[in-house]
Amino acid sequence: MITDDEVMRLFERADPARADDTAPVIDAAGHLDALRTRTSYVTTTAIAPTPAGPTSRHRWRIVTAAAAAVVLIVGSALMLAARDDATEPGTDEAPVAAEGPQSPVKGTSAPGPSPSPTPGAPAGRLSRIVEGVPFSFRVPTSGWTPGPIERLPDASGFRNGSLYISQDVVGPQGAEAVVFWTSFPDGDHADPCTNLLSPSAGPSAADLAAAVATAPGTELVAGPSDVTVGGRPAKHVVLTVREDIGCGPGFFYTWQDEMWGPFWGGTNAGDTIRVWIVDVDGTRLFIEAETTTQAGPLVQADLEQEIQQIVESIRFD
Amino acid sequence: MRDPTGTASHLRSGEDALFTQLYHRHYRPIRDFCRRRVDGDLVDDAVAETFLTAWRRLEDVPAGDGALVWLYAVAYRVIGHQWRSTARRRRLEDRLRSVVPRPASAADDLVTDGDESRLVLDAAARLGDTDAEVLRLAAWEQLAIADIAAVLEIAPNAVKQRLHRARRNLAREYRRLDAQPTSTPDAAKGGAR
Repeated sequence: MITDDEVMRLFERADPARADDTAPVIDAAGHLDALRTRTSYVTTTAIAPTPAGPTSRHRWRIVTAAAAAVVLIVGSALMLAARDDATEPGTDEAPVAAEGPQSPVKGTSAPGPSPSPTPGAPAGRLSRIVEGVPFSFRVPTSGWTPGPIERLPDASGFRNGSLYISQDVVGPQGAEAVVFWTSFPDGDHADPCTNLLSPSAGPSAADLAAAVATAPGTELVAGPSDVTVGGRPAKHVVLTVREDIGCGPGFFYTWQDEMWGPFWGGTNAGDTIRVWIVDVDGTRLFIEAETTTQAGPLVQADLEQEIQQIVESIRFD
Repeated sequence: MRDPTGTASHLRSGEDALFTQLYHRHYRPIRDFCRRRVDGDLVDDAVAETFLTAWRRLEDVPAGDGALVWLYAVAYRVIGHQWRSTARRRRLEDRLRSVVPRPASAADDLVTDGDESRLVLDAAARLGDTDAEVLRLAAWEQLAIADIAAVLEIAPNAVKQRLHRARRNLAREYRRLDAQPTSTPDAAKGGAR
């Protein structure tokens, strides 16, 4: 089967500009003369100057390779240090193994040409009102970034700002963990992964949890089980993704591609999805957390622990 | 790159010299950028509009390598945004190529490696607009993440996400089309993620 890289190389070779350009070249003087005599229908927009940087794939690869070498050296040193100094139980920063060019230590971004992750909020308590349900929660570490505008599957357009938090720790993707909260104001269906939840799911939290537990492309790990969220009875389901069926991270949520889109390349086999459904005065608050295998197993486990702490800290105001 | 010469005597001022230098250096990549995205005489129009903008905003054009990225950003808006809001909208929309499948032409035959290239372009046409543009900027203009972000005016992290996703989805769509007895070039754009 053809690989992703081979398809990308085919795409590079399909460049229409590889064909000879037979059009006559207009010299600069002629072009300038033409410019001086015509009216533009272009409304110019402010375009910020960009810093000079590597513009070729070749240079990019060199820098990436250098970065990977640095990471390996630093990672090796840290792993050696970790062998000498046993990590104390309960410390925030668990030792993790380096995976390829990824950063070996939680909380440090991968060096090299990749920009640093967007600074997130400091550890502390954050408040949200989702579908009329006010609540707050505590993020145990810094770096959890509140999400921007996204669209939910109703017709009311864009909702602002409070629909998720995400954490970017390692690797080239924009995040490795995300926590969403919403109800399903337009019914129990999600888009683009429409039909993941049965439209015929009943009205209770248990009904919705049962539908989640049988979502196509997933494997049920645990639940639906009875838990409490913010002191209220809730249902909890844990899934792993069994096969890629084209859903973005968030899985049960509507993503609009023209907006920011998913945080990593897509929901991959092995990604973990945790769902909590709590009935708050008649509104089913749906809390979904997803972590990606691209974080590496130890970082992923650490992120899942943080997610658990976040959900356990929820208070309904 | 061809070297368009023939500087006329009236290109004497500092601005004229600066523009001439900019034009000589970047005409070909800007023309290629436009050829990849629009057809026929619209290429000349897009190139002209891009350099018109540069001429009018010479003081804003960064020096060095940043100039080409700046010009790409202008050309991207000329092609993708500005013209759509003008009276030429219908004409342009009808003719915007934007890597969508199109009838074979002599030029196509020069660049395609048989069915594979057409198939991969069909697959790219099934991606979202921005994802496809990220792919084009990475594969055809060979831009780095930060430069793609500058052209599209989105965050570098968003570029990384989109590039990762677009590469994977491109391959998935390619394999899907390849598995079919015949390709479906009229498949709805954006129908797959």
